Amino acid sequence: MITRIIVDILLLLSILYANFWISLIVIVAGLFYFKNYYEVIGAGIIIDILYGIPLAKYLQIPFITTIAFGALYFMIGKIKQYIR
Amino acid sequence: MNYRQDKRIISKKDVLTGLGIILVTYVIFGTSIGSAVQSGLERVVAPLRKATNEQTLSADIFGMFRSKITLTQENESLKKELFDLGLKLLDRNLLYEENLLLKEKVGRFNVNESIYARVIAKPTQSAYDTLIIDIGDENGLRGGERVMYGDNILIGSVAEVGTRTAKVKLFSSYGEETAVVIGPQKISAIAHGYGGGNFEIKIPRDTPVEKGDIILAPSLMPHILGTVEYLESKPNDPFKRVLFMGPVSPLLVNYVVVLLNM
Repeated sequence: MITRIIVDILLLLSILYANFWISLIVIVAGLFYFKNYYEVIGAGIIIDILYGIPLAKYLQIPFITTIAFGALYFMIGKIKQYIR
Repeated sequence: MNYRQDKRIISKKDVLTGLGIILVTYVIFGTSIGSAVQSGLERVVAPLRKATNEQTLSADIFGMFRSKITLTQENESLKKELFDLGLKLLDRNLLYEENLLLKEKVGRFNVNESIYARVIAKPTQSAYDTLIIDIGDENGLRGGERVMYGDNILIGSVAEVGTRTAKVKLFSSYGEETAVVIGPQKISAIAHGYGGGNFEIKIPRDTPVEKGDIILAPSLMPHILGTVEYLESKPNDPFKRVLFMGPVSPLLVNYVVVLLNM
């Protein structure tokens, strides 16, 4: 539980102050390491609220990170089932 | 002992979780709860970010290891560069004053009110190509204002305005389209953002565009977007590609000027 809280704090700090790829690494690691790592959705929502705007490259969808992280949650969940 | 494997690819729990995510996303982005959360977050985050940026600017660790000779040489070359730039600036200011005078004579005199802002988050912090600046609704922003680097370099426009912060959409974001005029002949074209401060323009092959031509965003007081850096034309293609980059990388921008009365 303590590990999870520490990773969550790290994730939050990386979203606020670090490059995006650092947050992505923390998220992928968290998804593999913890069971039901729902925090990933919260992280997506925070990123979209703080930085998101409708852009042509994302088909003008302003919450693309939440969608991407949701997809990542399911994908890594499935991968974990097969490699268990 | 045999274990029965669950062959279903999507379980009931997955469906429920998916629905939960969609519901939460809708509640946050589709209702006024989103703006309340944003305003709360920016209240907490903006002062911390400002403090972090101050530290980053003042800490040049590598500077300590430079040798004295290199620093002296660099100093000399920078002094010379500064002198040359001073002369150019003088010339530019004279032309600018003349420009304003001429506009006043033809009744189109309009000096934009501008406001300085500090960049508190840069494009690398998210998958969105946005800058977050430390001014917002309280400072008179309404959205759509042009955002400049220095006096005359156009980099983007205000996309969303919070109470104390605003999100700036960069014109160089991938897929964004900006109307431009190229070179002394003022050839109209559309510049497509390529990401990372880069742009691409496609124009008919015979259009007279040279390397080094200035690219401007058209308005009464045109702003610089960049200069032509690379031209590519193929014999079998009726169009040629013009690639250019903004004079300043969005990653290096620490302060911007927002034009208020656009």
